[in-house]
Amino acid sequence: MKEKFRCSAEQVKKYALDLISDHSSKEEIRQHFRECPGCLELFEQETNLSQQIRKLPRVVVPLDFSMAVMQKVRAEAGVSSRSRKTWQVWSLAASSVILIGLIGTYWPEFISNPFWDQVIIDSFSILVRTLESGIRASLAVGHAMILTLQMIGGVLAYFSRSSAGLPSLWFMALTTLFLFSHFLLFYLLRHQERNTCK
Amino acid sequence: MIDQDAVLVRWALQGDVDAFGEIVKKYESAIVNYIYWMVLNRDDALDISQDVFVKVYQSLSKYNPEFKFSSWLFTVAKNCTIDSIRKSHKNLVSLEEISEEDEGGPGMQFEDCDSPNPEKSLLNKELGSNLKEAMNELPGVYREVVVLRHIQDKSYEEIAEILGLPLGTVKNRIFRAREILKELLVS
Repeated sequence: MKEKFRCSAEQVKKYALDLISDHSSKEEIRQHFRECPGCLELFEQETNLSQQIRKLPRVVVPLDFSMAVMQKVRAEAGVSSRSRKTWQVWSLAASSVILIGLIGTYWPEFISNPFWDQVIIDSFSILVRTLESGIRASLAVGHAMILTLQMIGGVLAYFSRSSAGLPSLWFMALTTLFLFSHFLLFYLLRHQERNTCK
Repeated sequence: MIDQDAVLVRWALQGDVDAFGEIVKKYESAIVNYIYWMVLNRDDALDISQDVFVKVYQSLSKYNPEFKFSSWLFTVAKNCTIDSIRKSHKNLVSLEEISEEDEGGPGMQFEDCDSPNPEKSLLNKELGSNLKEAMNELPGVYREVVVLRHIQDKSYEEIAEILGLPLGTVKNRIFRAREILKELLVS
């Protein structure tokens, strides 16, 4: 609701600050100023003060200021990218460990598999069996533990430096998906095995 | 209308450092001058301003595009300045801390914002000089709102956002600040 203008010093000062935005009040106040020289003088003093403050000298920013800032920013960006590379290297190393672990687990099972002939006859069957034993073995040797450590690493990286943590977060998500798919496959195999036994 | 700042921020977040350079160029003067009126020392203002932009770059991902970028920038500038003052044990409102150089000595580089006729210029310079002294004497909390309102041309709402204060408090502070300024000018 629009406030009615009253002839008082406080009101004039207030309007001197707010006037610009309120066009409807403007005409009413101008009319009052035409009739009240005291208010007009006070208003002019107020607006003059605002103008004088606006005209205060300003610090000249040196030409090399932005260059100096950008030098620091680029150094900062370089640190972020180095940090990101470090995490990518670690992620790659962890993936390699998992891959070697999985090959190491599957390979003896694959070689010594009594159902070798079935590889040709029924490749799916052998794949399922090797996978099943592989999952068991990999879980037994702490495969899950490696994944958990990676997840913790990813979370820590994310909270320590968000830009560097993003690839780690992606890796964490993929490894989690990998882990869950293992568990799902394991469950399906067990279920199939039970049905076959029956 | 496309918010240019928001676009530059997005590009900077995508790794375009030059986009951040554009932000620096756009706001360097405003930030340096805002900080200057808080610390009353040109060199300190320039040093703190550099830290402000680096800090802004580091925490760019935390910026919420729902709010005005300039308001967020000024909030970071305010916090950095307060931290810097605390670290150097300087008093925000102290006059004793102002060196001779800052009082308009050879090291001080200012640009004049107006160019009236010589006679008027002399009068304005005198008033400007008195006003500058009055501004220096103004307590920090009041000087801050005056600078944001009359030098940086911020709206009441933006000032409230920058300082994290209710709108009413901002209006009262500006009103009170002007009263103190006038008293100082008269005395």
